Amino acid sequence: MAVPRQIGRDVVQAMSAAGVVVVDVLPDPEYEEEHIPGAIHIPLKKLDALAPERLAPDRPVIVYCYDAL
Amino acid sequence: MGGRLDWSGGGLPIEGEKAQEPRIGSFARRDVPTARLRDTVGDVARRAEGSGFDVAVVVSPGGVVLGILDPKALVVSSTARVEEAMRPGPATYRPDVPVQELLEKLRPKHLRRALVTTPEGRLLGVFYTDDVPEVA
Repeated sequence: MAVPRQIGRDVVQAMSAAGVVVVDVLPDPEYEEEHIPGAIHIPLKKLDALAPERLAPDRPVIVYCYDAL
Repeated sequence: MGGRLDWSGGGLPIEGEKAQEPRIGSFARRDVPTARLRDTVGDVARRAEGSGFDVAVVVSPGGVVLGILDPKALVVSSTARVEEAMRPGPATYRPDVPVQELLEKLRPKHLRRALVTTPEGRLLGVFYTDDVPEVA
């Protein structure tokens, strides 16, 4: 099982450009106001339920909230 | 990374309903004169002359803001070191702060400029209230 780790903005940019999925886990209104370009939206409360159908288990994923990633 | 706050605060693009709201980063003048702690004030003042800026920003070798030399401090004839003349620890703002929000902070205090930095404190530029077009 992969271990989550924190990464910087430059790494996020590079990984996103390489096709890594970026997931915004903020509530609906906050995602609609602002999000990282290309990020898909899976609110934190629905993450466990929706992750299996929306994310590939064998691919890296970048997950962020308001002030942490 | 500090999440979306860190991303937008770093001046990176965002999407969404509020993405088009004017932010101070897009108004910040980027070519502000900079100085190092050990520089002589007179040398910095001469560099600043004709630059169009009334301040010079004191930065570390990594570009982190340490202080500011305001118009009173920028004396061409001064032989003092920058570290003796600067105002240390000036307030800084991230580039994703909405323009209107910063104007509402600065104008009541009769302030006309603010430093814009990354979340790590690296200088991006100087925001001048005069650069914002008046909305009729």
